[in-house]
Amino acid sequence: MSEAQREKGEQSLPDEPLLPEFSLDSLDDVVASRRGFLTFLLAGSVALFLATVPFAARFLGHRKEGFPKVAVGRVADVPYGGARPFAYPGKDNTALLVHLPNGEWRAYEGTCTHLSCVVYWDPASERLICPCHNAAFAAETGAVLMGPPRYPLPRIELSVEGDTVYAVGIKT
Amino acid sequence: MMNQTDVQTLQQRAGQLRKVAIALVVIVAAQIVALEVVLRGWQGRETVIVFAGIGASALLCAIAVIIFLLTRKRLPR
Repeated sequence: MSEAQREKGEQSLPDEPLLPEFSLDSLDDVVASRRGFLTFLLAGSVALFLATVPFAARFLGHRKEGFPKVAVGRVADVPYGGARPFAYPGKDNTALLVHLPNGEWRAYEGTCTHLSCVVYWDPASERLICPCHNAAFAAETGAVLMGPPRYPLPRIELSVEGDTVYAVGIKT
Repeated sequence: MMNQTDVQTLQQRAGQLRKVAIALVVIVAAQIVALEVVLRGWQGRETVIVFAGIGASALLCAIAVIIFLLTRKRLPR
């Protein structure tokens, strides 16, 4: 480009910035006002509060509904020292029915209280085992014996009527 | 042309808005902590902790609304 052309070019584009979308002196750069910022913070505060409401609703709803009485198995189907899975209180809630060697019945929610992996019954050690982090729960109480869970397995209340075992509630 | 009094008034208002903004930022940060408390309580099935977190969040939200409305009242748009 010659000197003359360069001069001509400069004259034809007097004040046009090199990168218009990144102009430094445009009023469009002012995108937030003080008032707008405060409104944004208030909206964030309200949104954070509203985010907690479903938790309360679920807790209150759970108590109101109560628990159904569901037949989970026949006595003859689960031998001493054995276990069988079932769903309680809903179809998507896994649970585990355990027939202890001393003849007593226990049932627990079937998901680990650590990260919700499905636990299984280990008849050799007579413990409930979570395979994800090698956690173990006591069959008698659901207490944590080993591993990272901080809370015991929630116990499902049972009622043995005749030759049928019913789940009637969850101890919280 | 603005006189000296107008400039001082504007400076005072700007200072008030800055304080309000700081207060709201602190409240929002505390609400994030409260939400974390609720989530942990939920995970551990601790009803008391869940409702304590929700209560704290509600209280902070109410304070934020009051502060915002007071600011709106005091300062013309």
